[in-house]
Amino acid sequence: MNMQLDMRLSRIIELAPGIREFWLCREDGGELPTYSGGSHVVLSLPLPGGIQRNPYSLLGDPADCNKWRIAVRRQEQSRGGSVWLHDSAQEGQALKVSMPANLFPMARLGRHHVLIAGGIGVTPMLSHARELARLGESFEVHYAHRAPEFGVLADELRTLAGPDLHCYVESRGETIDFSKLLARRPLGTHAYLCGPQGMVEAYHRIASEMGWPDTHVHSERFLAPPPGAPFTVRLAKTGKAIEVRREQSMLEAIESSGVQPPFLCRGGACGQCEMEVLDCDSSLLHNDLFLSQADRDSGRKIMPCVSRVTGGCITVNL
Amino acid sequence: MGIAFRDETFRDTFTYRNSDEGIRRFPFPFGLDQYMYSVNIEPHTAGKPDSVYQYAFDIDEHYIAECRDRAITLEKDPGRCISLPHMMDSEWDVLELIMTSLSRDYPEHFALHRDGEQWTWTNRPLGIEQAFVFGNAQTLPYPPFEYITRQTQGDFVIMDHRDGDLWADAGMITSQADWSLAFDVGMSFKEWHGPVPRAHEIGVFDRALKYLLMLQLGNPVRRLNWTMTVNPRLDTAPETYPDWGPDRTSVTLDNVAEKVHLRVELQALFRLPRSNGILFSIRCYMASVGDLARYPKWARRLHRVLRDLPQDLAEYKGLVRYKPAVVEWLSRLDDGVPVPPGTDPE
Amino acid sequence: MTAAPSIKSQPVYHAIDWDQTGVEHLLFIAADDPATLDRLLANRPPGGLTLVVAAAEAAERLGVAGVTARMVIEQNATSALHALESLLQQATMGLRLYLVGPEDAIWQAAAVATRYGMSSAEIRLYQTGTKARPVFCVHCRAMTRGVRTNLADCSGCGRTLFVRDHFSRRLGAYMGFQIDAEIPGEKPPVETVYP
Repeated sequence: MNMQLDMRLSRIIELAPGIREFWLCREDGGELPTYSGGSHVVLSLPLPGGIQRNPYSLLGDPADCNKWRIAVRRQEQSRGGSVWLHDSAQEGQALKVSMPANLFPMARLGRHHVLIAGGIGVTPMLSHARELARLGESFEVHYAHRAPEFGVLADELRTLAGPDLHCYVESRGETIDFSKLLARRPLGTHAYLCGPQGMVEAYHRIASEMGWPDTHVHSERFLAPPPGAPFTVRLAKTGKAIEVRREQSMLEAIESSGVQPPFLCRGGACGQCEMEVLDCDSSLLHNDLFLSQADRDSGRKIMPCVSRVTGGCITVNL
Repeated sequence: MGIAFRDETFRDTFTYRNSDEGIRRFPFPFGLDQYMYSVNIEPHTAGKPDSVYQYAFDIDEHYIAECRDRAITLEKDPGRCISLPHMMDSEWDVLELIMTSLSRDYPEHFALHRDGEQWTWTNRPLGIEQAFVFGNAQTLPYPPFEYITRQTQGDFVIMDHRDGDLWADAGMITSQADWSLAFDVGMSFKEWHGPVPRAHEIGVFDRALKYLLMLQLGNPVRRLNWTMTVNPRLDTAPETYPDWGPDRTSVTLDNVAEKVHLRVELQALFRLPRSNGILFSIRCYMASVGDLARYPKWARRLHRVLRDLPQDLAEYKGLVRYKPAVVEWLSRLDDGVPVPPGTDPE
Repeated sequence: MTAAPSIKSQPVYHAIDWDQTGVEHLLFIAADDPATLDRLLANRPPGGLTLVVAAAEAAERLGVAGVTARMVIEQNATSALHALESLLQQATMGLRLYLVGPEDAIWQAAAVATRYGMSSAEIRLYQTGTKARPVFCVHCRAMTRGVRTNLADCSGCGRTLFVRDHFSRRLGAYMGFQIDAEIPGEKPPVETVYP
């Protein structure tokens, strides 16, 4: 069961062209629970075509029990969630929001923490920086953005990290060199990155080449469910057949039919929504980060939040 | 809703007794005539009124006496409460969770007033009035986890969630069924469950761990565990085994009804907000075989479960010496009539 | 190969080999095991290699063999652990640690590495040499080392302890509890189980 809170957008702030900060408050004015650095919440966005559920990192102060803060970049090539938040959402808009969940926690036994943010990936890094500063832990922040005006929230980072904040402005030709950044770090250093896919891939590749173990190399990547050819999903236990539209994820289609399967990250990383495949007359398209190759090859499991089939009909054990 | 707190002992004189209500609401764990391990987890939602499942943390007639017994155990052995250095955030999480739960669920006994970080906690049964600064351990007489668990029934383990596993990195353990916190602290989920027979092979801990890693804020879960104890003794730790071990040889057919107790643990698991850890509460309930047998359904069921309990489980639960006497005593109450599935007394 | 342990906390040691994902390697040797060590050193991993040797026979044999690696030779396990700590203080991410020897030494070494933030992904352990166990007395919390028998007298309180297979990595020891707590004096025969 996924608990949802009735909330409203209490404030919208333009941080930069195409980047907005949103404040969320409880509809009943009550207190919000606190949360750990790296947590995200899932917003149920009332798009014209149906509810779309997207995860967003909480960037504010966990001790602030009156509001939650998220920041969203407007993405043209998307399924419409960020566009709706930028173009249609107004202050006062009511929204259902999940409880905070954390798939990107800080490593409490780390001796030093290197936080790396690319663009809007600064949002979880801000919450990590808050927590590390509060605990008096040793950390540094590296924040890469397109141009000076896109260095949103850098002033808050500066307050937390002081001289240990380093900014890299792409328009000035400044880029993060992972092989320098990760070199000669004492044992027990943990690295964390949130940013665009290319950046995440380069980071993992270079960290691995430099001998860093996976246990010390953390990243957060929310995959947006990629669109694809429409298909039908059949729920074996009820016989219900549901159409999955091009821009709709399989999970969203099932939810729109009134069924509430479990979910957590909505981005193919956590495994919570895993479903058993009983039959499929086309091919499975695995877009997730969770299933092993063996699981993928078996054809018996699928992550409906991001994965699809190439057409026809898939039957799941629901 | 008044609770008539009892004045009783869990050692030496063993004056512990259950009222009739205490027996009626006892969490009898056997729904079938045969027992085997399972991932018997269910949501820890508000249960039936006046049941042990009604509230997040159950306070009953034994509250004051149990807190007193815990204090005695800790006086003799402070090493029953351990918290590894990185666990302070989780300690505050637990203090907040227990204080908000108890003050919400038992307003006539507990109160919590919060003004920013200035908190005032009132515990009427124990006569405590404590003003403190939330987040500042200097303002409490004990570290936060020890402070609040000294005022709550049951044992507690705080698990740290890291590296895709759960680690028992803090605990207040004074009513355990024979495991040592001093030895087990710092172990991973499967390591500290290491000694449990059979369960690993049938995948119980793999599934339980996978499930618990996904535990979410606001969605706690619970399950039951059980063993037996001779005399209503809370402190049955390995540390004090020489004190209670000999009791196992003192059971006869004449004293089974009063001496041998079914010991049930109501275990609940709560995701914690600041630390992202998990609180594991282990609430211990004891009822004598004689008291349980007042309900014919329970007498029959308990007889059958114990009679057919596999030997390795009996050994692991420490029942071997006195189980024959218990089975013999209960057999006289078992007429073989089928008992429907379920744990209700009638 | 030994059978799977009955208690799942008991460590299982697999044949040790270099971790090719590391770029620097530190081999800590607390007992000579020619088969294992010769195999490892015949097939060096890429990257730097340091040996910390706390076993006299191994040091002599490896020295004679002209192993081209940085060698730190110590007289006993305690000074070897200090040497290890000094090396870890200066070490950087990318290091892999290999601990070869009796359980007492290798788990104490693992505890040092854990204090420096190393995870189990960076540490490999291999038990060789004596199978003697360090035993943690659950009653008085004293450690009794070098136990080769199923029962041992606690060095702290004198109780006769049964040596369980339940193992704590943090303590680097097996659990011991009084064997005759229920019926004082009733003890099974003593057997050498961990030679």
